[in-house]
Amino acid sequence: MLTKLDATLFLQMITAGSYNLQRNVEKVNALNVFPVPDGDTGTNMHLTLASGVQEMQKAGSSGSIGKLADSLARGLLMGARGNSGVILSQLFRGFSKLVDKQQNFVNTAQFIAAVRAGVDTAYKAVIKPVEGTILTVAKSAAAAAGKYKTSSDFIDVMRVLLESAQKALDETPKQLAVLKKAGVVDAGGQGLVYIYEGMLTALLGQSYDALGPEASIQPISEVIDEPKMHEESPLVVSSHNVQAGISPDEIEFGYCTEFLIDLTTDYRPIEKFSEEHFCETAQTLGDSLLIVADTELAKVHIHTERPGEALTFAQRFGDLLGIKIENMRKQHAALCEQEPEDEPITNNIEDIQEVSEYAIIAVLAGDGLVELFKSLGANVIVGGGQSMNPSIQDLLSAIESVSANQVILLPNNKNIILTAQEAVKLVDKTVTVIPTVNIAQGLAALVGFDVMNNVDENKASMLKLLEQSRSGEVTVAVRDAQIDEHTIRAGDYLGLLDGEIVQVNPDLFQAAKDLLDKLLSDDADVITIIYGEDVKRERAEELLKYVETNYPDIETDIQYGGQPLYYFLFAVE
Amino acid sequence: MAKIKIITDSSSDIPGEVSRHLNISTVPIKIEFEGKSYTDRVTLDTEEFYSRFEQSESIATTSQPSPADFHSTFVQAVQDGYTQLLSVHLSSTLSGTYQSALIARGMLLEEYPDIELQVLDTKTASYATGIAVVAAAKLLQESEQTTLEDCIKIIEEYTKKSKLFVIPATLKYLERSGRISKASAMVGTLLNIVPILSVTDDGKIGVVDKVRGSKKAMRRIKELLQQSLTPGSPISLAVLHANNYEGAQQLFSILSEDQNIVDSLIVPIGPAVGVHTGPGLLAAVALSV
Repeated sequence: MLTKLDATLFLQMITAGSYNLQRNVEKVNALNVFPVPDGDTGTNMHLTLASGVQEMQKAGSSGSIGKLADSLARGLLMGARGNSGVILSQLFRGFSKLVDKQQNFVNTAQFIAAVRAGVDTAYKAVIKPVEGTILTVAKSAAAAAGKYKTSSDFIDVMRVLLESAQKALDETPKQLAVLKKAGVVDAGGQGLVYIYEGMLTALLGQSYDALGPEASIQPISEVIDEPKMHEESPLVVSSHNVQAGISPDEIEFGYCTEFLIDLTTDYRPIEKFSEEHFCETAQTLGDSLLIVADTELAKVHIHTERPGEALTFAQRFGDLLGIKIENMRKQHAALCEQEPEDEPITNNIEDIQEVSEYAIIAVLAGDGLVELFKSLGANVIVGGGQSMNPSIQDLLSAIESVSANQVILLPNNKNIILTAQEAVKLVDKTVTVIPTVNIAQGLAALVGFDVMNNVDENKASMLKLLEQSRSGEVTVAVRDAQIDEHTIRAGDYLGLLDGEIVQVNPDLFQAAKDLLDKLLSDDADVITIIYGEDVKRERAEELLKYVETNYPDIETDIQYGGQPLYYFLFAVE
Repeated sequence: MAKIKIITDSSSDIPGEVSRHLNISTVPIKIEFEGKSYTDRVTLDTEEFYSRFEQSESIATTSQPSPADFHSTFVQAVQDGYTQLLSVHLSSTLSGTYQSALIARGMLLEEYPDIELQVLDTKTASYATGIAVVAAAKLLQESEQTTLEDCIKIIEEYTKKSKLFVIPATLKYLERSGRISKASAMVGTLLNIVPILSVTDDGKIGVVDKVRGSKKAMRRIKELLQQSLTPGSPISLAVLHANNYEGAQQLFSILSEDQNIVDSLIVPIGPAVGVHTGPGLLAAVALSV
């Protein structure tokens, strides 16, 4: 009888869960109904969980299970990517909140309560929870385990969790028509089942062999496709020279101050840290306040005139680590090298003084696209990597890297919208997420941005443009699939209109032309053709000629995007 | 009996036949082009200008008429028997022409202290100024009772009520000549983005909106104009173009659809303004009358 779960065993359980998921990543990916090459559930869940495991391993299992669960939640939160990754992180976050930090172990009743708390948290994170997904599987498993309150044996409980998860998973095609048509179960739910399977194995004291043929656990660094964000520093557009528009005297709080507070400091009496309380006081010291905290560590970022005061205040809650203080006025002077030009008859000063504190962050893949977005006013680009799946941490870093208080975020992929919404909850700045489901939409919306308008006006005009525009994408199917009436073979070329598959053809250019015909019917005025890294310019120009010949009234534009996987992007208005 | 003379400069883009018919004197702007000096629409006509402009390597510039140029026009009017002169010009923030006219006024009043001479800054440009000048001149022609105050009033009314919206074919000339700030000019021509410009209340050029596609831009101009026009009212409309007659016709038909246009004109933009806008530009001026 296994009645107590301590940190050591918990670490083993989650590690085994992660291992089992990793072994089955491709199986989970294959369940994705949508055959497009990015946004794979298996990969996203695996990367998310791997980040959590890494954080747990750093913390070590010598402490309480509560603290370990926190490390797990923190790691998951930062590494969360894609819808399924974010939901997974919320499941464990809710779980960890309910586990008492002082306890060295939990019993089954406490464990089950924590699992149910995880389900509640996950449901809250999703604006429109859909049944027949990972949420349903988690919910059913937790409910079934709840009925098992009478058992104090962890093995029983975990078995029940696994079996009811599996049962719920088998039901998912009945709940979601698209699964039924495709003849598959829900990918996210399957991922969760693999995790539970691994967890049970650990409890049974079995080695990893019991899970199946050997597969070595890859070191995290090889697994995680580090998005470009970490190699190049965040790009700040200097052609706008918005910085130049803000004179040093206008910088109200001159010292960018960052530090960590070790909330576990115990050799002297400290005040208990609460985000609200800390915020209240910190806000009187300056602005651009950002706090990310868990039970052990608080990361603080603030712009203040009196960094000493901020540090002194923070010390009440624990020792300070990683202190960084920058004099922004001096930094700013370096940025403003560009001389204002000879004063023309037009008086520019008024224009410049009205430039507001904005930053636009866009998630992209493709060097040409980066240039395009920058010239339309984007300030920071988050590299989405091949599969366009940045983590919450990646987005947070981008948001933190700008000094503007009004941030507009363009996720540019269906799978990043939830990640973006979660990241936004963690910062103090005002971040407006414009729900662009692909890069073409991102471009269309960006045209509506005007630095002279306030954030509500910009949000309204960008959303209006989203409505008025149509987007097209041409990519290749990575697996066989049946979507509505389309029978797709791996290797077929797909034409997507506003994210929906409308065209399937074994010939790339035919797929592109047919898609164009669908996009340009009715009242289209303009089209921009953006070609990716696998397309030669001459071939892209063939498409341009096709449009110019068949649709002579439509204004055209062709740009090099350099994006992977999507041969063509079409932005139509 | 006071005789009133209306004077303007060539940047008002009043078509030659119209100004002759309405007895408006026009002082020409000076154009420096390919190393030579020209007087706007006197020694350099519009057609020739545009056909040479695009091929030309050199940068063309303009300079305001000198006070002496204004002075001689004023003196001529006085000698022709006019006792009240009204000199009407484009925004002083866009050109030194108004200043020049003011200086000339000082010179004239020293010699002819009994003459009344008013100089007006319309705070706008091209035919948005021209349309007001024409309205005043028409008023003069209609009735002998028209006073100088009447003329000034109608010019002020027109310049206040009229709205001018501009679709440039490119922003590079406007930026180069400093008429549009660098921040405003940061509008890409990618994605067929077309900026829509206007003149602010204090006479400067600014970007009002940007849309994709010139057709959309024309429709947007219609929307913008409708915001300021009284619904159903009779409208005076002028469509201006810099060597883009076809575009002007397209814009005109979009703007005049379902509207009660009582007075309309398609106006070619001359070299004085064309140097700064570049060719291809389209604009519309409209007001409820």
